[in-house]
Formats: sequence, structure tokens, C-alpha cells
Amino acid sequence: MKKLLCMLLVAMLALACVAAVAEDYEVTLILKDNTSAGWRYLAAAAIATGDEIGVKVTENSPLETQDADQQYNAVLDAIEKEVDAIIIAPVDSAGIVPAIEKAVEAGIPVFTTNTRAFVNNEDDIVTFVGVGNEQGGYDIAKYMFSQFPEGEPINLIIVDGNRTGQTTLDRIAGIERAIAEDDRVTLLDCQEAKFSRAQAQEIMENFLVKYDDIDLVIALNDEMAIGAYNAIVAANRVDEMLISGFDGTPEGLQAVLDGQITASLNQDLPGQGSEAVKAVKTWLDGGDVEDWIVVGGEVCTPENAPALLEKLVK
Amino acid sequence: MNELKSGVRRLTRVVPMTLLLLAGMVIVFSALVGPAKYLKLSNIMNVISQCSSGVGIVALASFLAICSTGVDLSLGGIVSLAGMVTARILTAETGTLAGLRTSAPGLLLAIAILASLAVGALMGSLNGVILSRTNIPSFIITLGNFKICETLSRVLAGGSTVRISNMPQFEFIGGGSLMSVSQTVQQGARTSTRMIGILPVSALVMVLLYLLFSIIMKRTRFGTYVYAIGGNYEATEMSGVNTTKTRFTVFLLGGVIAAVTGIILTSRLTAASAANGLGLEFDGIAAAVVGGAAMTGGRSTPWRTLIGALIISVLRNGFSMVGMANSLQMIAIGAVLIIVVAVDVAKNRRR
Amino acid sequence: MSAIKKHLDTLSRLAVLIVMFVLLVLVSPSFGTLTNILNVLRVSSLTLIIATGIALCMLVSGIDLSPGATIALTSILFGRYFQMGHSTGEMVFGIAGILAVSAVIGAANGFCVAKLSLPPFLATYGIQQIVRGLAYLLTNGLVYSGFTEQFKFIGGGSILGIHTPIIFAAILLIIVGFLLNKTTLGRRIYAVGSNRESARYSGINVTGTLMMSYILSGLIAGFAGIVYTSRLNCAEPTIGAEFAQQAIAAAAIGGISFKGGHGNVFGIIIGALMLTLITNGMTLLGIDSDWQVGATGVIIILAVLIDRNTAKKKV
Repeated sequence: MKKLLCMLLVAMLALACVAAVAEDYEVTLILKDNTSAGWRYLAAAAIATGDEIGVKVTENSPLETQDADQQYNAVLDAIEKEVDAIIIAPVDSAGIVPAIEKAVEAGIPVFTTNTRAFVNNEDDIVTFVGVGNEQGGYDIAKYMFSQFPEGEPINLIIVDGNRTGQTTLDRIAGIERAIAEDDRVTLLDCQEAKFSRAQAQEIMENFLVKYDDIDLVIALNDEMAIGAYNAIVAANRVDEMLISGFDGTPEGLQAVLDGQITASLNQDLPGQGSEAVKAVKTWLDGGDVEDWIVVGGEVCTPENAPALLEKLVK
Repeated sequence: MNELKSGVRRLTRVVPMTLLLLAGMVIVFSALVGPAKYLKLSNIMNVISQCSSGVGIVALASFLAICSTGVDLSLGGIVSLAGMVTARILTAETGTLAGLRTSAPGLLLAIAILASLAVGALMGSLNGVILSRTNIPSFIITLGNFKICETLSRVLAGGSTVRISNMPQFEFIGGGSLMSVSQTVQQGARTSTRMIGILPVSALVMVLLYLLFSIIMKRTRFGTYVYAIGGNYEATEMSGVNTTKTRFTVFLLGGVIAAVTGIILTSRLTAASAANGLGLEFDGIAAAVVGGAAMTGGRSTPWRTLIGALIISVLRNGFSMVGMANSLQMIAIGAVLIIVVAVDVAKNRRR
Repeated sequence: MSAIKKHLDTLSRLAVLIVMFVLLVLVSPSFGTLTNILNVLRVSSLTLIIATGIALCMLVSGIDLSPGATIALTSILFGRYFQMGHSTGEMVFGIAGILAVSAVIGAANGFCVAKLSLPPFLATYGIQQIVRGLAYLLTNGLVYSGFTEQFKFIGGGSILGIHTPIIFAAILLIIVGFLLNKTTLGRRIYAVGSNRESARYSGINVTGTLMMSYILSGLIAGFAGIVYTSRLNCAEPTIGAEFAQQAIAAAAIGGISFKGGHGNVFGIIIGALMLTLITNGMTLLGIDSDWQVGATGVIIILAVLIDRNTAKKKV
């Protein structure tokens, strides 16, 4: 037991030494999970930008589940670490508020990215970096509807994300607003696939058996759109329907270029990460920051995808 | 070397091995993070409140189940469901409940808490009814019940997060503290003064529950029966103990304890989401086992379980303070679990 | 007559399955189409493969919580390291690598359970934490995709209109069925599961049998990982989070006893099909996905409750 303990301690020490390098400002970045591709792009960009401008960005996101309490704990740990700022993409826009209030109380500025927090006092948040998810949902739905000829009915399937999270609720609200404005559209079905390619593929397989007349599939992120596409290919029904994604990840943009999915909505996740870190730097240096730094928001089509992709890969 | 060995052995006879493990972890983390930063009062309170709103209280329910030779995988689901019930009642928009929010908020709060505990008891007794009367493994029944609870919670949520605002009394349960001290923090050029709660309500609830169960397990017939069932089921039943009733009570209490966590968690986040609490059932089992419970039943005590829960919380907080990847934290918890159990099994075999 | 009595258990389960199927066809005619039946078979084939591995552990009165994590890790390893080139040779090398890693994970489970005498539930839970942690560590959250057509055929192709996963599941079941019924190892597994002490007295190598069960379960999980990665055409670390639970539920519904020594491959087939029928049927009936999880829970509880072998009053 003693030997094992010693070995464990030494291993932990060694790991910690690698992690401890000091820079000008220290920032904790809290994203929704540690596993989805989109968040990795955001984190990588944030860390890279931080390295350039002298901000040490440490990520501490919940591991696999999109867990509001783990985010709460991460904020509290950041307060104890006495970091200079916190950047957070809340899983639960309401559930994160008490933690944000604690950070503000401790004198640590809080920046939100990707998803807003429903704070009671707007001054608690320095800035929000990202697109409006509701507007994004509306825009992509509008764009997809416009692909269909006038007067022809559109049978719609929505591949939902994760109904316990804010992003999903906002995007769905936007899509519903677009549906309400367009009397051609019938919503056939909507099921959640947890933003996972694997789950979307399985759900789409079921839908394909159930419905003979699907015209449009709106997936709430690119991963799920690609999953749905795989299912549709396997069923030999590619020509029957259009698919849209969301996020504008490299895989998503490539799928748009390859004609697998029709469009995506560019969230510019790397842009969210780097802009947020830049805003932190400006603010800590004593500068002023806008209340809302708009990043991305355009519909990705085969026309603009090459340019967007080039920007991402760079 | 031999002297050292026997020294350690003598030490572990007085102080439980797990307490040494906990102390060792605290020393290592304070060396890594810097003692001034890691061991300051606010971080200690931070770990304690993280423990009490998460694995801390649930671990007690896991301990009870394991002590009577079962496991309870429904606990995470019950946490979610109970938290959701609390939130739904507190935010009811129509009927008498909505009226109470302005006229008698205290009464509304009491109703919400009682309803939540009742739901916990109900779901717990669903486990209990089946598991006390059949020899179906608790694993599968509680897994089924977990899924039922999760579904009910999602349906109650109605496809969104239930947000509770302007309920200071309710927020006090998970976020408040009975006593505070001020602490001055030097942050670069800035100096700020913060109030640090040193008696967090959730931690008090946790300690009181552990105290209560420590007495129950030691001094009441129920406690003796639980240990006896874990020790030897057939012999206990033959000696005339009502094992059905005891096992039923174990799972019923488990549900109530999980509901307490649900209330605290919802209050802490001032919002309920169906995803809250899911996964705590495995954390609870890990805590109880690291604390010294054996899957064969009849071992460990509530206080040892609390140490196990603290070990998990300290590990999480420490990794996060050091800034290490969360995947390493996952590996570490798995490794600690296996090592602790392996040592425990080896020790018993020697005896 | 005695043959019927012997298989009464399996037969009654089969009857329930058929009744469920007929009811679903009556309510929703699209359910009975050949496409959907093949779809149900294909979706259940993965659960079926994993459940077969777990059942081997349950038969020796153990359990294996690690298959989901094993699938995630092997899939990541394949995506990141093994799939270096695009030649058949390299693909075969990669698949062999996956199977080797999964056998090692199985052996780690087996070592903890058989040699160190850890409770199987805890040992395999701890190992699954470590394995999944490694999967996260290796990917840093990225998704690996773009496999060769050849590899994609393994899980995504079809032969004579039958999806490949169904064929693989069928082959695996035949092998495991043969192993359990016709080989010495199979007899040992049942003997160790029914009564470990008497198995030991009758000269059976208990430790070895336990080790074999867990190694086989690991290998089968690795096999499932290959099929799954190929079918999805991508490797991500989150996959398989609920596979183990799902497969354990299938095995339990199919009458594999948690106490060990009781159950057969037909039970696993019926259990896996029943679980898939529920979710597939509810989707076709337009029932919200929220309720599907709960319905699975109810079915799990009911299925073990009506099981004559496990549900009797405590001794």
C-alpha cells in the first residue's frame, strides 16, 4: 500500500510540474464538455491566442456529461485559484448564475461565450462573445426553407441536441419561429441525439423507416447532420431530402463542400475562443469591451465554405 | 524497513487507512498548488460545500445499500427527480401554490421540501418493495428505477430548465451559510475583501445526517439488523429478524437521502435540470467503498463513508486547482478505487 | 415433453417477444416491413454482441461494466494510430491491434477479479474509468473519421441485403453457443458459476476459467468496437457510454442469471431484440424520446420480476 501510494504521489507531482508555467494573466476557460469536437476547436483557439498575447488559458470543462453542477464547481475552483478572469459557456444559462455572482463577489470578471447566462444584473458579465443561438436557428431554417420551390409542402425532421441545455432550447425556438412564418412546413418529428454523430445516425435510421416523405432534416450541429447523412446514404435515399447542420466545424464545412449537407450555420467556434481571450486581455489591461462581441452568424453554403474552411485550418 | 512497516501498521490500527490517504492527498495538493492558496479557509469551505451538494450525502445512501449487500443505482435519478419536483412546486404558476409564493413563502418552501422528500421515499420504496421480497439483484432493479426517475424528471421539466428566482429562503439551503468571516485576497495589484461562509447550510445538513445515521447504525435495532444482514443473511433471518422490513427501510431511506441532495443541488444552482445529479450513484458507491465498505456487506460506518466522500471531493478539487486534464482525474479515481479495494481484500484474506 | 419443460423458460420469453411484435405490427403497419425488421435486427446486433460478452461474465457470477469504455478506447486507437495507411495489410494490422488491446483490458478485469478477488462490479467499474479516461486523454476530444471503403464495409455493408453487423452477431452467437454447450471451457464456466466451491473440489481451475471469461468478454467488446467504428465511420471518445447498461439489461431480460450458472445464447437474443423493439416501436408510434428511457426501465424491472428463476422469494 505504502509503495503504491508513493508511486501515485510521485506520478501526480510529475504531472503537475508539466502544468505549472506562469504567464502574465491567468484565465480559466469552462466549456460545456471535454469531448465534443466543436468545443475542442474553441479551446484550442483560445489557448493559442492566449499564448500569443500573454494570457495563460487553463481549461476546466465537465468531462463527459453536460453537467451544470460540475461547471458550478469549476467556477468555484477558479475563484480559489485566484485567476484573473473566467470565460464560460454555460450548460444551463440559469443554473450558472449563482456561481457567476460568487465570482463577481470575489472580484473576478466573468466573460461568456457561445451561450448567454441569465444573470439578474447585466453588469455581472463583462461581455458575451458569439452568435445569438435563437437567431442562428431562425436563419438556418429560413435558408433551408428557401431552397424549396414556392407552394410545395416541406416535411421537416429536427435532430435535436440535448433538451437539458440552453443552446438546444434557443436553436429550437429560432427554428420554431421560422416554421410559424412559413405555412408550407410540417414538423414530422423531433428527437434528441445529444449532439452525437452516433446517436443521430441511429435516430435517423428509425425516422427513415417511419416516414416515407421527408424533405428536410435540420440537425442542431454538424456532427449530427453528418450522422443523419450516413443513415440516409445507407438507406439509398440521398436524393429525397436536404440536410442542414450548425456550428461550421471543419468537418461540417467539408460536408457542405462535398454536397453531403446543404448548409450549416457558422458559429466560428475558434473565433469565439480567440475573441473571448482578446476581450479578457483588453479588459484586464484597463480597456473597454463591447457588451456583445458578435462572431460568425452567417449561413455556410458551398459558395463561402472554402473561404471559411481556409480560415479555420489556418 | 521492517520497523517502518510495523509502525505504519500500528498507525493504521489507530487511524483508519483512508484518513491517512486523505491527509496524504491534501499534503500533495498543497505542495503542488502552494499551501497559501490551497489550504486557505475559503478553499477548504469550497471543498466541503462541493462535497455536501454532490457525492457527500448520496454516499450515505450508497453505504446503507452496500452494507446490506446491495447497490443502489437509482440514487442519481432520484436526485434529479426530487430536485425537479422542488423546483416545479416553487415555480408553480397557477392554483393555490402560486398564491402561496407571495402570501406565505415559508409554507410553500415547506411544501416543496416535503413533497420532494416524499417523492424520494416513494421511488426508494419502489426499490425496497421488490428487493426486500425477492432475490433479484439490486443492480438490475435499481437500474430500471433510475431510468424511470430520469424520465419522470425530464417530463416534469417540460423540455427546459426550471429556473427559480427571487426565493432567498430557498437559495439559503444550498448557497447560504450561518456564519461568515471576511477574508482579504491579494490578486495581483488588486485587493478585495470577501465574505467566506464558515458554516454552510448544506454542509451542516450533511454532518447532521451523518451524525444521525451514526447513532442509528450504532444504537438502534435497525442499525444492528443492517449490519447483521450484511454479515450473514441466512443466520439473521433464522434468528427471527424481519429482514424484509429492514431491507425495505434501507432502500426507502436511501431515496429520502438522495432527495435531500436533490433539494440542495437545485437550491445551489437556483435551477433544476433533468441532467442534474445523474452519475452521482457511481460516485456514491466509489465513496462508500473507498471509505471501507465491502460489497459483501456488513462493513464500514457512516463516518468512514464521509471520509471516502471527502477523498473524492478533494481529488476533484485538487486536480482542478492544479489545472490537470479532467481525464486524468477520471483515471485517478478509478485507480484509487481499485487499489483501496485490493488492499482491503488482501488484508482480510491475511486475517 | 421433458425437452419442452427444459426450455419452457426460453419458450415463454420467445412467446412474449412474438406477442410484442404482433401488437406493434397491428398498431403500426410500417413496423412489419422487411426494411424495418432488418433495421431492428441491425440495431440490436450491437447490443447482442456486447451482451454475449457480458453474459460470459454473468455466467461465472460476475459482471463486466467496461465494454462501453473498451469500445471507445479501441475505436480511438484505431482512428489515431492503427489506421496509418490505406492498404489491406495495415487494416488487418489495425484490427489485430484492437483485438490485442481489448484482450489486455479483459485480462486486467480478469486479474482483478480472479487473482486479486475484487468484487467484479467494483473491479470492472474501476477499470472502465481508467480505460475511458485514457480514451479522452488520447483524443483530446477530437473525432477521427474518414476510413477506407474496405473498413467501412465491415460494419456498414450488406451481403445479399443483410447488413453485415447482423451477420457478425450471428457468427459470434454460433461460436459462443458452441463454446458454452460443446466444449470443456463451456462446462467449466457453468460449473464455476453454479457453485464455485464444488467446482474447485472437482478439480476445475477456477481462476483460469474466470480469467478466460473476462478475456473473452474484453475480446468481444473489441470486436464490437471494430464493427461500431466501421459503421459510424468515425471514432469519438464518448461512444458507448450506455452500451454496458443496455447489454446488461438485455442479458437480464433474456434470463441470464446474476447469480451465475444459468442462461443461454437464445435468451440473449430474445433480450436484445425485446429492448430494441421497445425503443424502435416507440419511435414508430411517435412517442417522445423522453418516455422511451423510462419504458426501458419498466420493461427491465417487469422482465426480471416475472422470471421464475430469479424472482422467487429469498431462501
